[in-house]
Amino acid sequence: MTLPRAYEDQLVERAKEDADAFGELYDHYFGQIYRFVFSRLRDQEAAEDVTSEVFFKALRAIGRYKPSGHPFSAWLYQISVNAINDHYRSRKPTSSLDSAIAVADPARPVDDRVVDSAEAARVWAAIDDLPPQQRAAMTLKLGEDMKLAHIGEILGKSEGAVKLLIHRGMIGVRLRLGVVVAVEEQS
Amino acid sequence: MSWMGGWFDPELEDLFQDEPELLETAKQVRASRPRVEADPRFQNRLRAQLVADASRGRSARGVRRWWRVGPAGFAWSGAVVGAALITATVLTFVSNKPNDQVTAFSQLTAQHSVSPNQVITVSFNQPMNETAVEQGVHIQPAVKVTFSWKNNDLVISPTYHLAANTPYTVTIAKDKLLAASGASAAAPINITFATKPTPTPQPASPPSLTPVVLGANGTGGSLLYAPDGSAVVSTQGVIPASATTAPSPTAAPTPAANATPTPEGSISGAPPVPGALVEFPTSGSAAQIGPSPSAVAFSPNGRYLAMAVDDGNGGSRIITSQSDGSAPDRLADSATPVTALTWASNDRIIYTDGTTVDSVDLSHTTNSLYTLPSGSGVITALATGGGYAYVSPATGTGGSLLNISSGAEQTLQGATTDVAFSGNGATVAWVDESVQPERVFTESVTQNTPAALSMPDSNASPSDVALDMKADEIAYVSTNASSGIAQLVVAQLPGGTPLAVTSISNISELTLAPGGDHVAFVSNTSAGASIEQAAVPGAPKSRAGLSIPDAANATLQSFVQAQVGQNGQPDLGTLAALSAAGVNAASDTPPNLSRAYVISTSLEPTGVVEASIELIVDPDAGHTTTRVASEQVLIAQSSGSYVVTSATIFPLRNESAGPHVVQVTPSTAGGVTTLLVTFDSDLTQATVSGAITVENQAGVILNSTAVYDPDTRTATVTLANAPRGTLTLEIATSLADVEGQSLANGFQTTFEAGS
Repeated sequence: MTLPRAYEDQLVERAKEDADAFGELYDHYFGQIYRFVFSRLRDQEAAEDVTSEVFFKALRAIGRYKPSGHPFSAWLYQISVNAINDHYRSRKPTSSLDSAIAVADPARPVDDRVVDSAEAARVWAAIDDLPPQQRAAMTLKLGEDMKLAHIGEILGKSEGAVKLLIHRGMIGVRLRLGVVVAVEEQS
Repeated sequence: MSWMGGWFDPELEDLFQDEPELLETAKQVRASRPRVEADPRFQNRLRAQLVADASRGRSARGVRRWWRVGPAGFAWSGAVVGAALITATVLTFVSNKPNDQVTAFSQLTAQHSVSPNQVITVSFNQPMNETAVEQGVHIQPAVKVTFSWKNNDLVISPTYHLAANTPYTVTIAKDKLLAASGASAAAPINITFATKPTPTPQPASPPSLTPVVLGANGTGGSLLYAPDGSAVVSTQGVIPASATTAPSPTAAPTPAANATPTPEGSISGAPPVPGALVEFPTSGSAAQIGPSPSAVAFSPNGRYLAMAVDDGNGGSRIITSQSDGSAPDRLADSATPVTALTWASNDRIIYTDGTTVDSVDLSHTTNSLYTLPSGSGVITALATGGGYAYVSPATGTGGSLLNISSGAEQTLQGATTDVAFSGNGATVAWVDESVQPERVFTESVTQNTPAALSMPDSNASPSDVALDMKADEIAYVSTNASSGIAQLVVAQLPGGTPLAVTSISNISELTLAPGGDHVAFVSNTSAGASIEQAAVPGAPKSRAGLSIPDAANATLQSFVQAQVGQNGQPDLGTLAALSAAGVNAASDTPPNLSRAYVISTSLEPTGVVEASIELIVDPDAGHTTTRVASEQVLIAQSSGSYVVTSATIFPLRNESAGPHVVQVTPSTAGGVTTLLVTFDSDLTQATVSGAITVENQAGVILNSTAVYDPDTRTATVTLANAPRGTLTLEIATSLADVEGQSLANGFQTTFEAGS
């Protein structure tokens, strides 16, 4: 759920001085940031590390934050993308998607989880192998249902460029899934 | 495939409109995305750390795996309080640690604006020995609670909710932190947090008046109340033709002019009689008690009536009678028409023709008291007691208060004709017509210290001021300068807090009952004039210094808020602006204040407001006990506004265990004085009544009752027929909270009671 822009702007301004206001921002954005980070790392411990790093970076930098016309979440996602990339540079994710799904919904029937986990692992492993920009665009679009324009704000790219990233990413996934590519990709 | 159904993204549909296989892949990717939710313990933990760091100022601490700490647990260090708020607390938590040691955390950690309705959840890292843990829980201030468990979480639910604006410390003793497996904790758990203040209630709109018609009035005249408030008397009253008079006059001569009663005292025949001195009782029939006078007044003891009536020769006769008009006695004649009279005592009358002031006693002895110099204006009003008179200016504004015995005059700023004395003659009120919008001033006749009245409509001009007997209340007509809409306002003095406001039009001769519980006026319409009266809702019959003026309260609240300040630092500018010369509260105000309580206020007879305050430093990691500094503040008027004239601040001390008084609110209505005493802790009800006493100035314990409401943590102390003056509330150390902790020190405060 998006905060009304005017309210969000006021809240961000207050958060520069008021711990409570920062707490309110955290309450609002924690879920989506954590999900985004987790969907990229698929490891609970790593996701917690990176998520905490994202919010501490935001806390340290919020005093310099100036509204740019984009939602505040775009700024948090930018921090997240950078933090995830830093994490990838430092180490590759090590845990399997099975453990992720187990954390996500342990109450689901085991049979469903086995089927889904096999499928999901195969699909998202393919995304893992994509170049970072494609990976980020794909994750934001298909993991967070984000608008192309919003993804562009986060990645600092035009909407058209985002479309291209997703298009190329999708072809890359299909290649990695062993699907014959039916179109010529000139990436 | 099931994961394909239902989802539709128009952007991707558009992007892949010519490549259905890519759209298919996109749907597959989306459908297989992990449905993950964060561990709520991680979420709460991270929040607590972020808020704590934000409160301390931005942390430069490294963030990598910051919350995973060593086996001994993690205790935040540093005691710097940020944002004038409760900040860090002791947090014992170890993540991903083997369960050989009990650890826990709470979502309330480091929060300083917790809802009073919040439950307290303590999350443990393993299943616990629930009975043992519950036995180890201690909350300060004491709160009656119930316990429940949800997996490894202990949920502490206050029975009556937490107190607002209060720092809390939840402690679980180390020896009670036992896991079901037998594991123990390395240290006790201390969780500190604070609740947010309840919103300041907006002042409710004052109630309206509901006038009732007492009778008809002729043209002009004036109104006054009978001394006991049981009747309104009009100098131009009209009674129905069928009515009969009060007891017949028995003493001759009866004044003739305008007088219509027969010597036997019965009003006979139609038509109605206009222009007589008529008494309109609150219940019962109107009765004529005399001819229409040019001036009239009841004696201070209420037994006699004095009036000036036209002698038919351009002068006046001064007549007295019993209060019901019987037994008239002609005391003196004045060659010039008497325009005002009053009683100097129960046997002496003061009267004026506008230029001279004379007296006559019941033995018919007259004296000339004062003669106004030529061209000095006109004496239009005399204060009861005969010591003072109002001199209306010859031109312009700026009438004066005349000391009749000394002849000294004191200008009443902007006064012209709208001036009133209180029934006891001690206070004068007037409309300052020298400014726009006009305003009302009041002052004691013996002190040149005018106080501006706070009016509910700042864009309105006042008129027709009237005071009650002791100047506890004022009534006036407030006319908005823009709309022209007029309202009748009855307000408390000093200050001007409205007791009742109602829209009116074309009223005059406003008068207040001696006790301020009724207001009367003449309502003029095209159909004629009627005398109307309305009860003043909620107006106590006696009120003496029980509420402080709004303006003084505003100064007090602003001053205290400035002491608390922001970021642990007082607002020096505001403190200086609100302080009189020589008062330097800033230097004595402890740093890092979190909040403050105004425990009690009182209005001294001199008009000075005294307030007892407690300045609070919430506990933090470096000092886990709440600290308190007591403060005494005096507030007085200076140049029309209230300033702090004295602020005595005592050193910080550790708050004692046990209950504490956080507010005392006295009030008197209908002869019953009530004290609301609010505590920060849930009390043991059986200890309340016996611990609370009220004494008079001689130290005699007065009859009182005390009833404790656990929901509001408030004891209501009631005294019937409390003597007027300063009383003392005492609370003994036998008062105990629900944990059995007694009041650490006896509590004592004074307050003013009405009679």
